[in-house]
Amino acid sequence: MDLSGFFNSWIGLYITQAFFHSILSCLIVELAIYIWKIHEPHIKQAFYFIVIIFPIFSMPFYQLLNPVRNTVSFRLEAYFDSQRWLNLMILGKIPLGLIFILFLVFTSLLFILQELIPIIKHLLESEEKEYKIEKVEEDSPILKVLDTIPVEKPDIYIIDDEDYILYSTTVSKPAIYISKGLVEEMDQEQLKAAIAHEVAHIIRNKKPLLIAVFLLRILMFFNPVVLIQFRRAVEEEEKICDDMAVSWTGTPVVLAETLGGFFSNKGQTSPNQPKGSLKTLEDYSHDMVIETRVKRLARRDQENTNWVWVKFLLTLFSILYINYKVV
Amino acid sequence: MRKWIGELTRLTIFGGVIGALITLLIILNWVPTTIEKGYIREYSSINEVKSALKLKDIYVPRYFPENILWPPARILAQTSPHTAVLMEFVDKNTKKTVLIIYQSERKDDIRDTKAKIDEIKESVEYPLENRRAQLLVGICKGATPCSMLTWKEGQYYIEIFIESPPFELIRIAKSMLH
Repeated sequence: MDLSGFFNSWIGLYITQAFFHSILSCLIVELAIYIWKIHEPHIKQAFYFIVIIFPIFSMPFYQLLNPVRNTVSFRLEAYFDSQRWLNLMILGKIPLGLIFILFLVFTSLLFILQELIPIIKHLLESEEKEYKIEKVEEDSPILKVLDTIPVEKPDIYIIDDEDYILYSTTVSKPAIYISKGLVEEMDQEQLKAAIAHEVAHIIRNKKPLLIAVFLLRILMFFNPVVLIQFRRAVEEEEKICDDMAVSWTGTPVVLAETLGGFFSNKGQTSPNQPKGSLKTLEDYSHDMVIETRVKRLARRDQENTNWVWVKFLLTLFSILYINYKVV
Repeated sequence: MRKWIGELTRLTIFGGVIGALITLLIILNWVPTTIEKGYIREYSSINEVKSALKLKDIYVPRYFPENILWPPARILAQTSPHTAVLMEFVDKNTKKTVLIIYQSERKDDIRDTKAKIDEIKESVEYPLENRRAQLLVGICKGATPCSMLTWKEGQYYIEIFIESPPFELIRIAKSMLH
């Protein structure tokens, strides 16, 4: 099968349209967020979910709606026919479609290396690694922190590690894991803020929307736009949990200070990554996210929640309408 | 009140931006046609296709049933990514498309679904002047009898679709052979 044959096949049409539909959805969503000054993380996350989920179903949905949508006649009337660009030859030799496919292959590799392998590796490591983990005793001051958070109390475990580690699980029984290094470094208020944030994650994970979206997002493994937007949705999840934590503790500044401790060059004791070493791209993006969250907590944006559903539906309708005429 | 005016202004801006985005898409869709002249478009006559795309072999029938109007009501042609020509002919009275002739260098090309038999009654190999053609006879939309003949002619795959039983179709096909 030659290249134009591939782009005419169902799989070729699906991949191409999913890619272009996600670009346009992303553009419309970003414009909507900017124009309507949407800062609320849960609203922003809902907008990002459109970009992640819509391209998965767009082409089959449109095809059901109008079975002649892939015909020549429809393409001639379309706002944008991707095949016009993909069939162009660069310097009369290399088809642009080939570069497009190579780009998607690169994105797929990025997905495998940056998302799939780390998840598998993490699962295997957590099975192999024998951390010394102890459940916090009932009279521990850490548990007293939980008393001030008005929700169901999870178990807390201390990890015998000097690094800054803090995470929660909801697999069997909700639990928060915190490293010794972190407990020793933080004061009572900071500890409360950090634990409140993890409790928020536990509550949110009872309705694992983000996990469901991630599973759907795997179907778009080749799509760079979805890759980026999913990460942004995850960032918004962190902000949602920050807001929940602040609503319980009432101390945004303390949570901001606590987050400051999680910059990649702090609390690192690993000999492989000495302080002041060149940051990896992953560390850089991690720090960027932390910085944004710290700034946001310090700023406390004015929320604009008027007509949210109208705005959301208008954005969704614009995406549906424009992409219908993008083949 | 000020809040409402602010929201309405932003709503108008959003509408304007969506309009601008559609315009941008239309421009982006037009750009490749200025670079690659052979991309599919509509032509007004067969001669225009021949001169614009420098195509020599366009298979046009010499025989037409009386009810079919000449010249073609619609001609689409391209040389990029591959050569293909589509001609639609209408009925003199109803002005409805009743005959479609399609020639393409690719067998798996995406066709217009106007040429679609809803229920195939018969599928046979038909010897067309020493060529192996495939004849399909069936029912189309509105319970109209229709038929389709496909064969390979040189570098092209030719497909003729007619909204009538196969007798006229075969006469049309034979009149197209060089």
